[in-house]
Amino acid sequence: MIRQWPLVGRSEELAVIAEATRAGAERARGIVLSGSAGVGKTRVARDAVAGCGPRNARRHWIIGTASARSVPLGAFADIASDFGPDPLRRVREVIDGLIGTSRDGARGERSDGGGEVIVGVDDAHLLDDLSAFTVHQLVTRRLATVILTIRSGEQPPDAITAICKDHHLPNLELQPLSLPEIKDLVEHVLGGPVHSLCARRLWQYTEGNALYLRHLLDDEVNAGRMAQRSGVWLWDGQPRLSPTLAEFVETRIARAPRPVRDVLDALAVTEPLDTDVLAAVADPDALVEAESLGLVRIDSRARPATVRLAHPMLGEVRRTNSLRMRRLRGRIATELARRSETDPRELVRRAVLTVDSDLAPDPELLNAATWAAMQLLDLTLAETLAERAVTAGSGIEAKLTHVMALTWQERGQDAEAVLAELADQTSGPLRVQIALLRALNFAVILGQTTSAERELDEEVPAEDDAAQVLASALRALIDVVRGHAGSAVERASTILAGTPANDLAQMLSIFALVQALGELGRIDEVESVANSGYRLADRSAEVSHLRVPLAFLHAYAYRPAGALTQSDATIASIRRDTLDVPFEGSWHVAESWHAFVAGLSAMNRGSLAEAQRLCQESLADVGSDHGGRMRKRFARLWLATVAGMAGEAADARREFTPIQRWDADPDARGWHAERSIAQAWVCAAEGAVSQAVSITRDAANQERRLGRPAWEVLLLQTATQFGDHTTAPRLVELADQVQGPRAPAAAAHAAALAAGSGDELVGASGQYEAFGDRVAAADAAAQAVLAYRRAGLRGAAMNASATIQRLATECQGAQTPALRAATTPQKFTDRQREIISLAAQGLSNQEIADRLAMSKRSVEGHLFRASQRVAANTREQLISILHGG
Amino acid sequence: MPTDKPRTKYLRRLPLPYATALRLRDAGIADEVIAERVGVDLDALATFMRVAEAKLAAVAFEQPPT
Repeated sequence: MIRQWPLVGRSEELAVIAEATRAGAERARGIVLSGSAGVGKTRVARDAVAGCGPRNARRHWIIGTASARSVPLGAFADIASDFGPDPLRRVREVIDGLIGTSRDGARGERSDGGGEVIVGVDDAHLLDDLSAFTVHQLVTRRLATVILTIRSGEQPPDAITAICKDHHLPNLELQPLSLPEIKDLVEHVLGGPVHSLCARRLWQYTEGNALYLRHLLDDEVNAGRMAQRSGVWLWDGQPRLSPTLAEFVETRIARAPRPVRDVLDALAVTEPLDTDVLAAVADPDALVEAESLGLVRIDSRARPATVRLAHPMLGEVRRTNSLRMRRLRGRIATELARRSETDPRELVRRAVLTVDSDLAPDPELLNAATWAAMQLLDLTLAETLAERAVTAGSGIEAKLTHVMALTWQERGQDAEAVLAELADQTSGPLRVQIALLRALNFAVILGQTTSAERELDEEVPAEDDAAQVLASALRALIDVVRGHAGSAVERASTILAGTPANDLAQMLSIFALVQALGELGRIDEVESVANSGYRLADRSAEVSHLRVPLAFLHAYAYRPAGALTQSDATIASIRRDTLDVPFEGSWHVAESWHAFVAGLSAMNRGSLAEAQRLCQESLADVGSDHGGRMRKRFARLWLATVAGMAGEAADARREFTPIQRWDADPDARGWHAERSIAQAWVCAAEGAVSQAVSITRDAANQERRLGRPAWEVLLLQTATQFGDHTTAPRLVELADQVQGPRAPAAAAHAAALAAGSGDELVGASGQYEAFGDRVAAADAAAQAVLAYRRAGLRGAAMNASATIQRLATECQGAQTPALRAATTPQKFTDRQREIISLAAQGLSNQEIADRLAMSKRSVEGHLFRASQRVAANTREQLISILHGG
Repeated sequence: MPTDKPRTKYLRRLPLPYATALRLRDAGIADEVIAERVGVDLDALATFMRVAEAKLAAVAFEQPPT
């Protein structure tokens, strides 16, 4: 065994790596080293990790392995072994373990410069998804200098791919060594000159691969075929064709003694292994021999020492699904079971080993591992393990866990399929539990209130106090979905006043209360209720994941009242708090969700292009999962709204159309206000402005009947933006009931429009702009331009025109009916313009009549008078004149 | 920067992928083609070329033209 292998021929690479690890504050520090197996990535990375950064930097070496890939956060087993109660904090706990956290939460900042952290990640293509996400966080948030190795041609987890593709770190593809470098290396290792012909043959045989050379040289020196003659090393080996590296490694292992192969096989099954576990399944003396042959690495810093394969290829050539390997998995799983481990990863590891072993399936272990996977927030793995547990005969308990994993991913249909089956199989207290889960799924995820209520009415006994608390919280949510904000507040407040022991009941009540208070316009009360929900999520593992939907409800509650500063503050706060949380168990969902709430903010403020981009990004994972139904519904509604505000009629209609299909429950009126706003903007973009007005007026009347004044304000404001002169009396009444800046601004706007006062419209525009609704501000200013023109005040009209130009630019291309009317010459009446706009979209006179609820003859009359007005002879000419031709 | 003639000589001392990439670039070939020819991801080509230039400079430093 030749022990001392220097690093040769890599000084230029090390210089490039050193530069990448010194990158300034404007970009992430580190590098991705890729290359084929055995080219020397690990060696270069190890040297780079040891050599970069200040001397007292914290350094970590993380290894991805094929066997640890099935265990969430398996690569970081040495970093964080003691997890807290909150599953959403797993990645944060690992990051804290890596970079340290001071008491005040400031990470990795110490005055002595020792705060710098260097992390080497070897074989990053073999990381599990959660570990990969952790590395992605370290890089993108610039928490550490990260040096990664990836084998070329392998498919790394998405989060690792993103580090390269999004150019967070440069990528250096290591090449095989050249002939002079191979000669230099061999001479260093052997301690003397090598005959140049031999060096050339070694180079050709190994193709410059360092791992290949290492194994070959070991063999040839031990066999005496590589020997010194007259002070020069000569190679007598006469290989004809060089086998592939894998074949070579395989042959070499096959020649090792059987006990050594047993050690390698055990590590091929799972690594790292503690020496005591390894000793129980393999010969301890063989471990020493395996190390001396350079086949394994023993880390003696740990107690007991841990053992890994010296190179992943050693495991790759041994890993099979033979009966012998299945038995070995069983023996190791049995041995691991003897140890009292508290780390949930050990439970998952043991369950995964058992599944592929000769042992009988253990439903109890699979159930426990399913919960452990949930605690590690790997919901896909939890689902797989739960299905295995069901197959193994675990029955109802595993199915319930399966439902939890599905619910956490918001996969309502899949969850209902399992719940319906369970409902048929159970009775008594278990059936009550199923009913509660089912009602939760129906009400919150599927939006089917009637089914939810039926479960509660028929299956939850009135005398079961514990179940009734949760049922009552669910009824409060059903109230919200049905638009009964008043009764939701009453019910939820009563539950919370009793401080229920059931955390889920408490959280659901907080959901209902936050949303309903926003709808009632009682926004001053929202903050404290939401904060109590965040505190609950911090201390309760059961509801920790619900902080994410709570944050959305919290930010959204401020929308109708126009409290956009509070809404944005909530969005910023939850983003800070959940940067390192893979929502619903997925990194992509987290990205989509952050885009979603940012899209809400952009829409509220009339940043139309930004809102469109963010809403589209938030739908990026639509094809990849079944979850997030509500998120997708809102994102599409907002897309339709902002496209309508931008005058993009076809895009707006395309986004809106599927929503009507999705909203199957006629009782779910709680969602109608936002839908009506979107629908009205779609119609407005199509030119059917009177239809847009009647949609918003009808919806406002429904909100009035439901008792949701904040939504009524927003709907009436929208009608006023479309030119409805009749909204003032009701808006003035509502301004007394609804807190926040929107109601007084909308009341002032409506009164100014009714009075035809340009000055007052400019004042209302200022009020809208002050709280952030720039589209409404632009519309009020546009209406002011028309009012001034009618009054013959040309100077004032020009001033107001300058305002609308500025606001339309800030809105990134707003093209509303009011803006169009103020900025293009008016050759037609409002009604004529509406009818020609619809004709321009290819509607027949009958279709126009149906759409605008008038007779076909009236439509024809309007078109005739419009033609006379502009001397047009054809429908096409009319359309052309409308568009400025 | 080595002059043209010694550059050709030095290129022979480099690992083949680096020499190939430098020759192709000298000939004005597009980056996409160079990346494909030497089997390197296009995103990694810039770093690859920097290493190639550094290795060429190192060879030139070790064996100055006589």
